[in-house]
Amino acid sequence: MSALGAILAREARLAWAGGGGPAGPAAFFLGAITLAPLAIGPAADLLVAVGPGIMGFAALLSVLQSADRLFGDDHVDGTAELYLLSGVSLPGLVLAKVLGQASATLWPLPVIGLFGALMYGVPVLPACVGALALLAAIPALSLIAGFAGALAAGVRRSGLLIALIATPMMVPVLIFAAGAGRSALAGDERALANLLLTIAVSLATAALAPFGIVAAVRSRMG
Amino acid sequence: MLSYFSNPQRFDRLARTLIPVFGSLTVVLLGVGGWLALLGSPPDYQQGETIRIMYVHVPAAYMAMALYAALAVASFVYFVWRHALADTAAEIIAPIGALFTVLALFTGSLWGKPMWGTWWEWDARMTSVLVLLLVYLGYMALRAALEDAQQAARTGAVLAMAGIVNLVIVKFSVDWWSSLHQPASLIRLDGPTIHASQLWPLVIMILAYSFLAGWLVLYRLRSQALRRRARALQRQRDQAARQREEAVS
Amino acid sequence: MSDFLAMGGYAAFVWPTWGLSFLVLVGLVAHALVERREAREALRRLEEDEA
Repeated sequence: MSALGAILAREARLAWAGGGGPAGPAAFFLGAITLAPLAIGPAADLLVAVGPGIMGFAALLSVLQSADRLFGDDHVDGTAELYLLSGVSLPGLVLAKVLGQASATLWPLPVIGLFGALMYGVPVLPACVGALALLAAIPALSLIAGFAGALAAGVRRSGLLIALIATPMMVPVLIFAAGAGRSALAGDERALANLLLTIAVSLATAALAPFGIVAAVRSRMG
Repeated sequence: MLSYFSNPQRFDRLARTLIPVFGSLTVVLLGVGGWLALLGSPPDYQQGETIRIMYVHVPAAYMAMALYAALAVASFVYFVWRHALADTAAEIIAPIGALFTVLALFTGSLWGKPMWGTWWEWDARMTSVLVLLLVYLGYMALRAALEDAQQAARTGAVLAMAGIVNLVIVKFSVDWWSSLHQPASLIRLDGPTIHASQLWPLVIMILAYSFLAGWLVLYRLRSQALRRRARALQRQRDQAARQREEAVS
Repeated sequence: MSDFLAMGGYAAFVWPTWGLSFLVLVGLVAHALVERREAREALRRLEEDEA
């Protein structure tokens, strides 16, 4: 158990050290939610209506930014083979890696999402629900990004490939997480259901994705 | 039985007998189905003559989904038993499935314009088919990006299997997301809600498309075997040439 | 006959869908046949060079 804890801590440290840790996804997120109104137009009621959706959409794209680093770097420098030899539970190792990096780099997203929603004119309570949904979505989003990154490890200019692979897999969590914010805004009774569904998808992904990632890493070996 | 037919010669014999059968069935069924769809069935009470689009749109959408299921099964067989034939089958199926998906989208759009007034509707069905297209493209892109054939095969298998699990959840979540979806009218617990005069042409067209897909996969599997023999011969040739060069120098 | 072609006024929608579908099916078959012919020729050329 302490081995997995060590891996979690190492991933978090690496994420902070190389590439500015949380700065990457946060900067992208901030950029995206700043640009969106410039494209959509400043009509206040329109921005309120699309606010929760834009937050979810932009957060999803931000997570994809660092997808290639997690397993791509290990593939290139041979660390992946060491994992397979280490004797540690592989799905556990993979889960620790992904969640380690996610906790270090993605924590700003719910915070920025909250303030972003407020800036779009969303009232406080729905904005908080939306931010909570983003938090609940992070495990699913980061694990799917990790899976896509593991499949495309070491491929040159893998960004587009990773996005293409990850996008269909992120559809459910996006629907539920953005849906929570939208339902809270509209005041219909689905807000809690959407939030619970987001948590459910994250839990299911945490249970299944590690095995997929291990299979993906193995399939890319020699 | 799977392992029995994973033997290339035995599979080739099976394919050689099935290919003409599938081919003739396809031609007959397309002929009958096409005639029934365009001439031998009445226009719809509500949709008029646009119902005839259904007879090409639904089979295309059905094939899009059925072929992905076949892709996932072939990938699973390859992943577990490492039968090379299964991987080749998966590789062949993907672009065919993607093409049917695009066809489903275009015919769906042309059906939607007279029906709903818009070229595209973000409803559960069309959105799911669009996501399915992305899944196909992702699979094909991944295989194309990996130069090592064995890595491409193994990695593709992992992605395809993850994809089928994902598609089930996507279907549920997109249904949840959309409140305007049409309930599936073909199979329902209390019997099909579609009329017999429309059901027959539809079923025949779906069967025709299925046998066509079967023909395509089997026929192209045999072609791939030929190409592999050609590649092996070429490699032998190149190796012999290199050895001769080394002997000289 | 002209009623048939007119498709109740929806000809602009019905015929393109059938035309597109026909093109796709024919294209798929044609591609498979061409692929087989090219594979067979490539193999024959290699086997002839051998002899």
